[in-house]
Order: sequence, then structure tokens, then C-alpha cells
Amino acid sequence: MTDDLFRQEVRAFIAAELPRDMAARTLLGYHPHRPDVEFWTAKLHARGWSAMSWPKEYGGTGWTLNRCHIFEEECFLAGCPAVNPQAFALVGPIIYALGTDEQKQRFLPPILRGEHFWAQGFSEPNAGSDLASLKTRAIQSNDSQGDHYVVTGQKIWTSEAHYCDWIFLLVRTSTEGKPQAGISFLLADLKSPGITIRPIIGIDGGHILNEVFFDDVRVPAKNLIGEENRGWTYAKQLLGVERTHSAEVPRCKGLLARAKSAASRLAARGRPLIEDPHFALRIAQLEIEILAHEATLWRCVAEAESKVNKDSPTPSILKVKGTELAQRAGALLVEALGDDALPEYLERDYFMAPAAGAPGDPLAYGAVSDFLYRRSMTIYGGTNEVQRNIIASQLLRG
Amino acid sequence: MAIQFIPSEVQTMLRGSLRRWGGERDVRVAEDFAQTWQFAAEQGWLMAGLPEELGGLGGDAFEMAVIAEEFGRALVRAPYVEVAVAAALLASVAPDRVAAIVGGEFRPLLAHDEPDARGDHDWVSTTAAPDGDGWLLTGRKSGIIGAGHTDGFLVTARIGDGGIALFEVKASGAPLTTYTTFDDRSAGDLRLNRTPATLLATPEATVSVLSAALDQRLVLEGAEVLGAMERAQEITRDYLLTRKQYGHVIGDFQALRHRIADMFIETEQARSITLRGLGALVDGDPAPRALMAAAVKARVAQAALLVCGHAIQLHGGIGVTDEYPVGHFYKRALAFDQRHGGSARQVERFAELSARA
Repeated sequence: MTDDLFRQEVRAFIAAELPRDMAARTLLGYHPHRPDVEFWTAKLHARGWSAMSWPKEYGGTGWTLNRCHIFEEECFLAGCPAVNPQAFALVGPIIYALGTDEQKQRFLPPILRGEHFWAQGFSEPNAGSDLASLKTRAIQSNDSQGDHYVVTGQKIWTSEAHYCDWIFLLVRTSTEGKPQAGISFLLADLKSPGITIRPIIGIDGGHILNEVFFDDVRVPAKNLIGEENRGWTYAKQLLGVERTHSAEVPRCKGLLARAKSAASRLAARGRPLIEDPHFALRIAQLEIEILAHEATLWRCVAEAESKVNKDSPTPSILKVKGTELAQRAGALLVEALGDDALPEYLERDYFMAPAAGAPGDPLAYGAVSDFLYRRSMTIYGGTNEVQRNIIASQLLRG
Repeated sequence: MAIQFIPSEVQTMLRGSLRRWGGERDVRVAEDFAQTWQFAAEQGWLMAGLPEELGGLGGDAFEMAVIAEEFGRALVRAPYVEVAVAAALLASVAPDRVAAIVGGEFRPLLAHDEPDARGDHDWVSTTAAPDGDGWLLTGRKSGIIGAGHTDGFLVTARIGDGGIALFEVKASGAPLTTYTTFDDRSAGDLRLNRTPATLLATPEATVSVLSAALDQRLVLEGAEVLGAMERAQEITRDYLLTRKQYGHVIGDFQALRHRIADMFIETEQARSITLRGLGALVDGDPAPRALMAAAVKARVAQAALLVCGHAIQLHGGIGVTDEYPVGHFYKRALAFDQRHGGSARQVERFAELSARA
């Protein structure tokens, strides 16, 4: 099948299965709703498409990277709720690559069906970019109920933890040797006694981030991934896989299209804003940069698939450019809205269908809050400054 | 889409031989033109992009870009891209003239730009008036790179109130003022004043081939400058690993590490947009091709000025000297940005072309 036919097939599937109202609210850019995500993951699963990047033997699609990107782009632009990223892009691949057979059988099917949502427990209050300095400890113990770890400490910036079922953790199991050497990778049930989740409200006014406290939490030893004290290696492996998915190309294109359509509809001094030469120039500049960025993604995909240029730092630039361009596109959208961007548009206002005469413009729903939330893009997943350090290290090694 | 991300075996070999040849060049000085051109003809570089039935090798824009990029890396002054663009034009309107280009004897150049065109492809105020069997041209054609090495100009001019036609003006006796550009290339201005010319193509026959040639020119010149910025970045990288200050190699300092990372990021953006532009040339659909060519020019020029500018800055004082290579790469980037409408104008063209689409 050609890529074009594949794209058409994806489009047809979405058109048939995705409810209009769900698409409309997803496109506004507010934080995901678990019921929407569950609904859509189940639809995808019925088609065998919920785990686009997993191999077939574990219930994935077995698609090439290129197919995955086509699929992702179509889903994003159509307003499909995104599947739980921590489960599908992060812990799933770790479990099928490194987990025991028992772990695979236990954890992978509920992810595929959209029943188990996962959170990532890596960052700590004093371990951000310097993740290896993490302190949450796990002490091995044994009692009448079997081998287990007792976990104590705190994780922070834990996206979606308040509606997730499981969390994968980096914990300290040894203080000997280098900080990286004593870290283990554990899977914990978020319903375990001793776990407390506190919300962190973002500058967007929304709740996606959390603090997660562990107070003598019992985690069965069989929930350890791989070997004890090798968690850092596994986590690095995980951060290295699918770097191409942080390129944010669909988001850049989607936000640019939204900025253009807002600028075509809204007036500036008697004519559409899009006809203002200065605004049009900045749209054009951004569009040119997105074209270059998108082609960089295609190139990385082509190179990965032909296994050439393996030592190039090119994939590392995808996160840097993708996040910076998405922020600029969001800024142009906000700017296009002008005064109508000023009222605080919370998601509940959208759901309540504002009364006639309400301030602002319906185009503004989600625009500013998404823009504000996306200030975090250049911070999470390794700040863009850390990414530049990584690029420089690759360029400057011996 | 015809983008090719993984080079073919032929392209890899072609790049290898160009790299070996270019690597021996001292980028600070102009090469011996006659020797270079003869060598390029012998190697088949001049025929790479020409159709086989005209004696070429039938390669596409991607092959021509390999040559352009490697010429740019070595800062070759000879007008490879300029002659290739003229050759492609002639292949459409006067195919019998192409064989001599392949052999290196004939080096035509396109004389299209006028000082106030600023990158507008249709801005031609040079006029053509009939004169017996021939024509007389009046107007000014500027910024013709390679002018000192050519034997014939392909000149665009308007016929009456009608469209733009293509003429040939022989180099001998042409009202040409030659000069050396600030990046050390031979160039010239034609000040045509009832200058005799022969008609190569009527307006109807010119319009689509000219727009293809002008788009091709933007993209292939982009490939050339991509090569220049790559090399400037590599030289800078090596310098960061050897130069010591405060007891450390300067590549240990984070401020400089972030700059080399930015140089890399920009170079890769330039490479990607160039590949996209080459794909659009191969596809040949005029509207997206014009849009992408403007994007290539804009993005590559912005990247080249940043990369080559950082290259100077990271070297410190030695970077601004004539005896050190990096400044020469910067001058090439600046000259590139200066021609056919700079990056700012090309962004504007991109906006205009998008609004029309």
C-alpha cells in the first residue's frame, strides 16, 4: 500500500469512528479527559491500531516509523484524543523489551485496551535535569507476603497521575558508586497504601501535573524491571527510543493552521489580519521554518530506517526545534486573537456553552491556556539547554 | 513527493571524488579557472544534470546539488551553478547549443536580474526592439556571477508591451563591466544600449522554462551555500577542540557549546529545506516549486549567516583575518543573501505566493 492510500485509510477510519463533539473539544487544546482517551483507545484497539509503534507480536501495528508519523499527524489534525503517552511510548516499550514473560502478559494487554493509564515517576524536587541525583529510596524486604520493596520519597511534575492506574519509577536501591549506578526501575500500583497525590495547578489554570508522595509503599519484588541497580541504563534506553516522536510536527502544523484561520477571520483596521504585511511575514517565516523542520523529521526517519548516519546528533535537534516552533506558532495564534484573547477561557466555560454576550471570541477557547501550558515543552523531557549540551557533546567528542 | 533522503550509490561516489578534489583546495584564494573548468568537464560534472539525448548524464537536481554543495564546501569561485542553470534553459529552447557546454567550451550565463528587481522573477524593464533580422536590447542586467569567464549571455527582455523573451548577446563586444565581488568571484553588469542580440525564445516559449530556471537557481545556489556553512561549522568544531584559554579547550565552555549546537541545528534545517526544494524541482509542479524555492533561499540564507557569523565569533580575532578560512565562508554567505532578493524579501515572496495559492 502506498503512503497516500494509507493516509486515506486512516482518514476514513477517523471520519467513521470519531464523534464530532469529541474532536471539537480535543482540538481546543485543553488537557485530555480520561473518558475520551479510554473511548478512543478502545476504538483504535478494535482496529489493532492502539499501539502504533509497537511490534506486532506484542499487539502493536508493526508499522514503519514513516507510517507512524502519518498516522499521528492525521489523528492530531482531526482532533483524536491522544492515547496515554506514558503507557504507549514509554513504559510499554520498556516492558516488552526488558520485562519478564509474566510482566508482559500482565501489563501489556490492559495498556493496549486503554484500561490502564500510566504515569512516569522520574523527576524529584531536587532532581530535574540532573535526574541521577534522585533520592526516592526502595529498600528490599521480606515478610510473610513475600519479597517486596519499601518505597519512600517524592516525585514531582507527574503528568496525569491523578487519573492514572500505575506509575513507573526510578528509585535509589544503592548509594554506592556513581549516582547513576544505584538506580532501579520499578512498577507501582497507584492505589497502593502510602501513596498520596497532590495536584499542581499550572499557569494555564488547568490540572495535569502532580506531586506524588511515597510513604513506606510496598511494591512487590516481581515488579522490578530487569536487574536491580541497572534502572539508569534502562531509562536512558527509553529516552533514546523514538526521539522522532518529540518533533511535534503535527502540533506545529495544527497551531499554524489555527493562527492562519484566526487571522483570516479577525479584522485589523478594516481588513483581515492575514492581509497585514507584517503579520503575514511572520506567518510566512514560521511556515518556512516548519517546512524545514518537518523535512528534518522525514530525513531522520529515512536514515533510521536505512540505518545510515547512526552517529549523527540530528535526532536530538528534533525536540529543540519542534518545541520552539510550536511555542512560536502558539504565540502567533494568541497574538492574532488580540483583545479577544484576554478573558480567561477555562474548559468548563466551553462545556457550559457561554451565554450570548459573553466576552471574547469562540476562537479563543483553549488558545491561551494551551499556549501557557506549552511553555513547559522546552523544559520537560530534558530542557532545551540540556538538549543543546547533548548535541554539543556529540559534535565535540574526540 | 520526489525527495531523496538517502543518497544513491552514484551520488555517494560523485560526492567522494568531489570531496577529495575540493579538500586539496586553499579556500582563501581563487582557483585557476581554466584548469578547474577543464577538469570539471573531464569529470563529467558539467553534464551531470543534462539529458542523455543531449550528451548529458541524465542526472536530476539531486546530483547537481551534490556538485554544487561540494563546490561550496571548497569555495570554488567558478560559476558552476550559474552555467548549469543557463544550460538547463538552453536544453529547452536551443538544444543544439548544449553539446558545447558539456565539453566545457561554451559557458553561457543567464543575465536576468536587474538592480531594482530584488528577487521578483517577473521584474524585467530591459526592452527589445526589432532591427532587421535581429533585435536591439536596452537596459541594465546586474550581479552576473562568472561574467569574466563567459562567452555568451542569455538575456531576458520585454518585447513591446508583451511578455519576457529570451535573447542571446555574445560576450565579445558586449557592453560588460566586470568586477570582482567581495567574496572574490568574477562578476559583471551589462549596460545594454541598443545592443544587438538574437532571439532564442519568444515570450510564449520563455515563460515556463524561465520560471523553472529561476527556481532551480535559488535551490542549487542554496545547496552551494549549504556546503559552505557545513565546512565553516567543521572548522569551528575543530578549533573548539584545540584552542585553549583559562587552562581548558574552549569547547569546554557551555556558552560556546550552545553556539556550536545552534550552528549544527541551523545547518541541518538548511539541509532539510534544500532537500525539499530539490524534491520540488524534480516534481516540477510550478506553484509548489516556486513556493519551495523561495523557502530554500530564505531559510538557507538565514542559516548561513548565523552559522558563518558564529564561526567567526567562536574563533575570536583570527576569525576576522583574511589569512584564516572562516571569514571567507561568511563572505560567501553574505553574497548569497545579497543576490536575487535577500532572505527578508524571499520570506515576503513566500507570503505573496502562499496568498495566491
